Amino acid sequence: MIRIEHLCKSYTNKEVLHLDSLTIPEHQSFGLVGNNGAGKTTLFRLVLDLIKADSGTITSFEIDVAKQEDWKQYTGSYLDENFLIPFLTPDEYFLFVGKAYNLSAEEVKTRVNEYKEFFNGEDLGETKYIRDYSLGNKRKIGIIAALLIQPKVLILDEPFANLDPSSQLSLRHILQQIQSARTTTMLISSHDLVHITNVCDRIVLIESGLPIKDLPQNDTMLRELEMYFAPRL
Amino acid sequence: MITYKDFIAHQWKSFTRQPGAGNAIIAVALRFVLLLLGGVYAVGMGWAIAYGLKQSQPQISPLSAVNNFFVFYLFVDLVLRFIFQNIPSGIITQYRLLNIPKKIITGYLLIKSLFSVPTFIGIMLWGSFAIFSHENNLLWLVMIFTFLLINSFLMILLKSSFETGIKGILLALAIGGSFVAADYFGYFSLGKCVGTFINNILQQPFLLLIPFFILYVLMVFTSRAILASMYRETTARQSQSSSTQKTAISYYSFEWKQFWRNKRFRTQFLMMVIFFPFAGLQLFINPPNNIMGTIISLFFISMILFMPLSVWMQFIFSRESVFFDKLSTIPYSWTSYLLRMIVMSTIPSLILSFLLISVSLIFSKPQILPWILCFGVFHIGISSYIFLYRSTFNSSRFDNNSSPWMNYSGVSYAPWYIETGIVAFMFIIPVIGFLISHFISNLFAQIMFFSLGIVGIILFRQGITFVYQCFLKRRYTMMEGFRAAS
Repeated sequence: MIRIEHLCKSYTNKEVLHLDSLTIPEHQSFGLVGNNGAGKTTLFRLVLDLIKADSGTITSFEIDVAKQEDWKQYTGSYLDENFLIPFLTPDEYFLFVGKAYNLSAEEVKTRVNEYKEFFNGEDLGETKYIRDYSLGNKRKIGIIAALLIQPKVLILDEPFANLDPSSQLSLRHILQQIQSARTTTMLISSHDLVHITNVCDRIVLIESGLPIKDLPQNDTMLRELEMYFAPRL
Repeated sequence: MITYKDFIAHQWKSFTRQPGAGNAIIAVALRFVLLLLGGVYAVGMGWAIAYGLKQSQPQISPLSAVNNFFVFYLFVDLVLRFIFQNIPSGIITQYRLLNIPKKIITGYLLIKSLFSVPTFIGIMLWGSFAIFSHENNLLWLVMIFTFLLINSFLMILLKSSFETGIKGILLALAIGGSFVAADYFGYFSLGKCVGTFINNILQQPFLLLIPFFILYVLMVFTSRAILASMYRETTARQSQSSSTQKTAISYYSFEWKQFWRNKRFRTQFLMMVIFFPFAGLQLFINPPNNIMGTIISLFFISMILFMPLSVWMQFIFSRESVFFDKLSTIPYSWTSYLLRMIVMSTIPSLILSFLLISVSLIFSKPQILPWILCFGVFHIGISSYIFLYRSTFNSSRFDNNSSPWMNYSGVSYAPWYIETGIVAFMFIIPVIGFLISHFISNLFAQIMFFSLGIVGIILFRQGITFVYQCFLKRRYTMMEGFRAAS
């Protein structure tokens, strides 16, 4: 379970995130939706202890993420390509990630092979460095690295962005499987309303750092979101 | 479990796999040669100091004589570290999402920061001094090494404080200024105080625990500063991602904004403003009357004149690479643009350095001014091409919107054989100047440097065109390399 309380974050005196209380129960697939600059990535960065909050606390399974680091052992995440190691090959990167989570090379290989379809026939290669892959393929590498540790908490920031249609559908299928397995707490942000409503049990809409709507999964979820964003067109 | 060994392996891979690095073995060999060159130079300096002190002050032990001035060496070492050395960052961001404790990352960066060129040079210099002065005192060397490590940590703390505001640096300047003032007016001599302290340690070795304790305290604070820097880096990335893209076409005002809004440039600029008067003051207090003094003075004057050049030049092409894709699709006179940039960047920085140095020099040793003038013309006419050529190897982009943390990695390195050549060139200039003036005449040496500079200035357009062609060649290679790889 992830609990956020009285969380505030400002950049150069401008408040970009203000969450009084938000609880994400265990095994819930939680979606975050909002326009650019709404505070989605900031929230994920705070949850991952990449930036310091001005005030408030975030606990992951009762562990304060800013004070302890045990939560890293069960958290898999991917935000953007800056978090990849550009001079490694994908294989080397997966092995390194596996090592950080005490996985053997064999285990890593087996688990990566499970996602072979996601790569849509693209050869991972043993000599091509991550920096030489396209943005979409870099994202796939990052997502697979987050998944291969079989995390208890999975955090993905705009996972569908830059992916080709086949990969988008493949990823959606993977995330739906995780959702139905009910073993992972997922936090996903996306601008793609169709995909996110397909893989999330609950969606919170944020605007200028404030939560506007908290929508449970039902038949009207997508419509409500479209209604909210449509007048802006 | 991730260990330091993994980080070292990554460090090695990031080095050998960098784009355009060429043959890794040659690169490593040349890096070693570069270090060796610096080391040999330092050993020579150590010998020169020992020899000079024995000749000029035979009644005093060279070790005791040096102890009284050691604090000034530490000061210069700190300033040079501040200007040239970076806060250890490495590949932090990529590790932060993984199950790697922060203390392992900070510990690695802390240890990495100790293996720096200034520390190596310091060890070679003072080790050589201790050997050649026939006072091979291990305790003294341990102490000197401790002081060098203290400086290494101090540099990180100073830079970190400068990242978060100007208060830290102002405090450091106020403390430093107070010591200088107290020394000048005869109230308190920091040099003698430190000298006495070092002498006491030599007699009472347990006192060495004091610098050890200082080192430990600084290590704790430095570790915290590095940790804080991790959060700053990610914050910078975050604010960068939400900022709007700048227009592609450069105008004068835009170019100046690009420089001025970059914290690294501002830091370097401020350090130059601080360092020049100190350098001038040093020459004012201790005018060079002997051979060794002349070499050191010439060397530092040369370095001082090089500094603004290197600072400005390294940005030119990394900055242009931001616009390269767009500018290459429209009619644009790159040659005239670069010429304008060089005039804009080189001339004001040289005038600034002349002004700041001359203010103190004019009252003490006006005869050294022709040397500064000749070196200045030489740097405009010759060195500027060399630094521009080095800058064409920049493959990373200069990001005006991000903090200096980002931009430190935004200016990539040239291959080591190029770096070696440039550093060797910087080291050789004062030596050549000294040799010619010593064996032929002062006037001849000055005329030679001046003439070379003038020839370079006359052939400015050809030089710029050559550099520009090198730049284009490397850019196209990089773009085509990406296409081939993908």
